[in-house]
Formats: sequence, C-alpha cells, structure tokens
Amino acid sequence: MLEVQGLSVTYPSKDKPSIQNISFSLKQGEFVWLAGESASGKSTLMNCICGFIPQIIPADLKGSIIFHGKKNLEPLQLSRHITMVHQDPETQFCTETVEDEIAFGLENRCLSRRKIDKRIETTLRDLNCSELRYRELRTLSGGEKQKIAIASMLVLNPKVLILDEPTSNLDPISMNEVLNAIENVRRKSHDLTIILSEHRIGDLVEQIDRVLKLEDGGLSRDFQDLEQKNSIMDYSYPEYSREGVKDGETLLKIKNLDHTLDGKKILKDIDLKVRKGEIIALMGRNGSGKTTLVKLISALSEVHEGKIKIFDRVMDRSNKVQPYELGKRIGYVFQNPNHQIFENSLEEEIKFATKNFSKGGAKAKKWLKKITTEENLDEKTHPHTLSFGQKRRLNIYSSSPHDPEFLVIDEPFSGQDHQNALMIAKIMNDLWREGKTLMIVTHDLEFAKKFCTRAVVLKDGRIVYDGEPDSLKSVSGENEK
Amino acid sequence: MKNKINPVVKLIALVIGAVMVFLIDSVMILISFVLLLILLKVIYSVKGRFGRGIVFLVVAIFLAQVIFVPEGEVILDLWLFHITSGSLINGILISGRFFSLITMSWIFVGTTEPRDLSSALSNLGIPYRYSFLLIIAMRFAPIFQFELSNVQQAQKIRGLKIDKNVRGLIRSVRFTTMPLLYSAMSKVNTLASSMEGRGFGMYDKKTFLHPIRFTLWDAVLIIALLVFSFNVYYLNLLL
Repeated sequence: MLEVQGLSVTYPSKDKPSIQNISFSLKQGEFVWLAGESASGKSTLMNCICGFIPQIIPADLKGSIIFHGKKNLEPLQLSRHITMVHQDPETQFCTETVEDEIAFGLENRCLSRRKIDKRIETTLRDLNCSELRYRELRTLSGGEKQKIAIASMLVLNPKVLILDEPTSNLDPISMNEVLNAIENVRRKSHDLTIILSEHRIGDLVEQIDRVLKLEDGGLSRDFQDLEQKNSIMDYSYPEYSREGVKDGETLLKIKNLDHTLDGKKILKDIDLKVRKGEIIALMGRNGSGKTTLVKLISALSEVHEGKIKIFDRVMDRSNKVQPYELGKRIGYVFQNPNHQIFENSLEEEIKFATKNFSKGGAKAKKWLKKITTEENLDEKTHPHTLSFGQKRRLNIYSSSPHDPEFLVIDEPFSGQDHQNALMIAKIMNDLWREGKTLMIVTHDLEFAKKFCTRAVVLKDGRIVYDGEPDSLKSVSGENEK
Repeated sequence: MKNKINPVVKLIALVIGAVMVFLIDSVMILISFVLLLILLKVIYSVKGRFGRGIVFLVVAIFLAQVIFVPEGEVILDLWLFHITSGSLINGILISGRFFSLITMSWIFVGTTEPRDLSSALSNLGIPYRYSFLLIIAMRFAPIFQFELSNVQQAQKIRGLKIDKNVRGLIRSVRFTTMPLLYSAMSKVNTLASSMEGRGFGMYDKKTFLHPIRFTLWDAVLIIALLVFSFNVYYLNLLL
C-alpha cells in the first residue's frame, strides 16, 4: 500500500543527508514502531511520507514514496489518506476549542455541519473523551491535549496514521493515557496502518506488528519478532555512587510557601529543607507546580506568601531578590533548549554567564574543550545547528561555568532518547562530584532511584512525598494500582 | 452578552467611531463619548484595567498640549507656564481621542471571538485563507508571550543585566530575537504541516461549524449607527 524506495533527504543547512537510501513497504493495517535515537532521521522520514518534505519544509529529496501506485504526491492530495500527529500538540493546534480543532479538517473538506457534528461525536466516543468536547484547549492537561490532537486526525478517517513522539512531553500517567488511546484505536480499526515513532512505548509493544529501526539516517533493522522488540527497550541507568550526602549544611529552607497565579492556587503550604550535596528529584504530574516552585526558589518569580531562604538571602513579601543577584550562586536549566541559547558560537554561549558575572573563565575554557572533543564540534559552531541532544548538553554547560553551588535542571530528558539521557546524566553526575547541589525536575522514576538521593513529589501544589526515591512506587506519589 | 452582535458590524462601528473622534471638536460631546465607552466596557464586562501605561500616556499627552502648545487667552499663570484656554481644550480633545481609540479597540477585542470574526468575514466574501490568519494570531499571541518571559528569565539568571537606556535596549533585542526566532521557526513548520495535512486550502470555500451570517438586523444596525453618527456630527457643528 505504501512503498518507500531509495529515499534520501538533505536539508539546505546541512552538508550530509539526514536520511539515506531508505527502502521498505507497508501493508494495510500494519502497526509499525519506528524506533531509533533522536536525530536518527525518524521525523524526516515521517514528514516525507506525508509530503511535508519538500513542499512545506524545503529539502533536497531523492527517491520516491509511492502510495497506492501514485508517486510523490502533494501534501493536500495525501491529506485525504495520511495524517500525522506531532510531538507538541500546542504547536499543531490552530483553533481555541476542542470542537473547533476536531472540526477543522472536516470543515476544510466542506462536509455538511450535520456530518461534522456526527463525526466529532463518534471520534471522541472512540477515544473515551466525549466529556472534553466543549472545553477550551488551553484548559486541558497535557495528556488530554494529545488525545485531542489524535482525535483531530482520526476524525478524517485516514488510511495511515503517523504519530511523531506523541508522549515525549508528558508525565507517565498522561503518557499511559495516550498510549492506551492508541491501543484503543488499534483495537477498533484493524484496517488502519499506524506508524508510531516513540522512545518508550510500554505495554503497547504487545500490539506492534513490526519494528523499523533507524540509525544515523539509515534503516538498520526491520523485524517482526517480539523477542527482538524487547532487546531495543533497555532504559536502565548504571549505579551511581552516593556517599556523604546527609551531613551537608542547609542551603535552602522553604516555610509555608503558597503561590497563586491568575486566581488559581499553584502551590500550597510548601515546607522544604535542602542540604548541600543532595540530589533531589522533583516529581509529579504536568501542572502539579514543579516549575513554579523552582522558579520561586531561583527568584524568577516573586514570593507573595511564605518565605524562602536560600544561602543567606531571604525572599518573602517584603524582601525581593533580583535573579541576576542570585544567579551567581544558582544555575538554572530551562525546559526548552531554544529559549536559553543567546550567542552565535559555542564558545560565546558557554562564556555568556562568565562575562556577566566576571567569574569562571578557566572553567568555561575547560568545558568548551570537553564539549568540542566529545561531540566532535568546532568552537565557532553555531549553537542552533546542534542536534536536540547536543543543545541540551550545551544548556547544562552554559548554565554553570561560574560555579554556582545550586543547580536547578527542569526536565533534562524531555524529548531525549535513552542514549542522550545517559550522557546528560553523566554531566550532571560530574557536576555533583564537584560539590554542587542538584534539584532535577523529572518524570523518570528509574532515574530518580538510581541517580538521586531524595525524591520530592508534588500533587496539586502540595508535597505528597518527601523521602528515599527507592520507596517511591509511582511518579505521582501514590501507590500504584 | 458576548457574540450577540455580528463581529463585522462591530468592526464597522469601530471604524465609524475612530473617524468620529477625529471629527468631533466639542469637548462636551467627546467627554460624553468617553463616558459612553466606559459604560460599554462595564456593561460588556470587558476584562482588563486601565493600566499605568495608558493612564501615563493620556496624562502625558494632555500635559504636553497644555504646556507646549499655547493658544487663546491666558487663564492661569504658573511661574514659567502660561495655561491658555485653547491649549486646555486641545489637551482634553487630543488625550480624549487617544483614550477613546484604545477603549474602543479594547471593547472590540474583548467581546469578539476570533473564530466568529473569521466566519463573519468569510460570509461577506473574504477568502477564509486570510480571515483564518486572525485565529492563528490570537492562538499564538499568548504562546509567544510565555516564551518571551522564559527567554528573559533565562537571561537574568545567567547574569544579564539590562540597563534602562538605548544601549540596554539594543542588548536586550540582540539576545532575545534569536531564541524567539528559532522557537517560532520550529513552530511554523509544524503548524503549516498540521493545517495542510488536514486539507487547509483544499477548496476555495469551507464549512463553518458555527456560521455567522449577515442578517437584515445587522444592516439595520449599521444604518442606525450611521444616522446616529451624522446627528452627533451635526450637533458638533452647532456647538
């Protein structure tokens, strides 16, 4: 039904092809897991299948994609048969409400209002989320948003549904919600061909018919046997040695902290003490208040109720601290790698904080050398040409050349494959061994257990768990069912 | 109260209102108009308060007129400043016009769903490809606002101190443009794919699940608005 023949794609800004000589064919109703590390070419391949490359995203394409005997169709022609759900639902939504979003594709096809209404109803029922129909998109949780993104594609009755890392920005509970929804879709319609690109697919692996694995832009494996499927699902972390953590002095003390944003209570009654040398996994579902808490600690938001004492600085209703005053001693890595790259070369980027604080020149040089040798890059490389994983590592380096004692890292592994996660973990471990205290916002329970010395779990703005990561049963802090 | 009036009628009212505030040179009528707008804002419970920036601008425009553009008789002598009757009237008129324009636009945006405006415009024959841009702009405005605040926070925590002068402004723009631009570019491709992948632009027309039609009532409303405006203008000439 769908055939890819000798496909190679080179982007205008790159010298070598992102995918090279890929050939395979898919049968109707196959459920394919497209595996492979970040930057192995999965997104490029999927964008080609939908015709988005080269029509919307310019690139040099060689080879052909044949759908039901027709070669290299345009995206509009393909949109009748092939639809794709993107990684970030927020970016693919083009309306404000659930109903409008799902109706969008049908409106474009000029269906009658009665038919549109009916199709919205059926699709939402199939995905078990009829109750969301009249909600505004911005009020939905991450998992709900992604389900609506899937609904908005499924409502078009496609023959092929492509899912590009639909769960990579989600907490484990939302992730399961979405994976279950996909499983539901699978059970209901065996004619639908599904191509799922994802790093972790949990129990959904049982439903998979076939695995295509990409490596460095080439198709390295193509198999159907379940035993082999499990072999590419290793998400373990090594043992990290953690000694002498408990005796550190208190660095951070939070007392009765509440925080309200736009009339909504985000944090309630937070009490927390952090000692020097601890590695804290700050966990909880999307929207539980994790990012708000770390922003308050770093003086990026103002404290209105309660008190935070960090080092010797007190922040409360009457005492305000500017982030650049605290920045000398706190490093902060934001979630989105693109939001924190300001300079035009690796060298300038790593030195950014050094220049501003007039501190840490030697460290910046050492790290620049490390990143250029390890990643085989030049000092003058433009940071925005790096891969997603490389950008994340650069973010961590550039957040702390001036040796801040306390480092906040917000979801270091979001959207990263396991190889990248291991590399990022190694850098964080090196920083800890230099004597830094780490607070890491994460959804990865396995990582928390192996890497962190303590887990703090937030639920609806309250701390519901604070203790050994080992005795934690689930990321939401509740016992698993 | 929301959505009762066709967004296109509101748009026309906005244009008529904008022309009117420039034609009116009677202080009494302009002040009545300002009061009417404030009343409308309250009735339609349009969100948002008159922030410090707007109040500052209105006052600044008023003072600039009063102090620097003397006209007519001196009615008050304050050391270096001679307050004249003409400048006082001009001050009220110009700051009143500015205030009216802002409030009118505010009421328009606050009471209009972009979806409805897009639908209403298409109903008048404007291609949906263009009118849909309104919806996209409204959808992405808060996202970019959020991103801007993140980028600025990331700069501050890494020690960037922006002075409040021209040099500081240039530095701020330099370090803010690139991250936002890269973030926007990555979004543009996804959004375009998501829209085209669902057949946006497939036909010249599309269905609107919630159509806004231009009715006789809307036409009556526009005529009433015009008649009212002419009367006000005539009154203005008499005063």
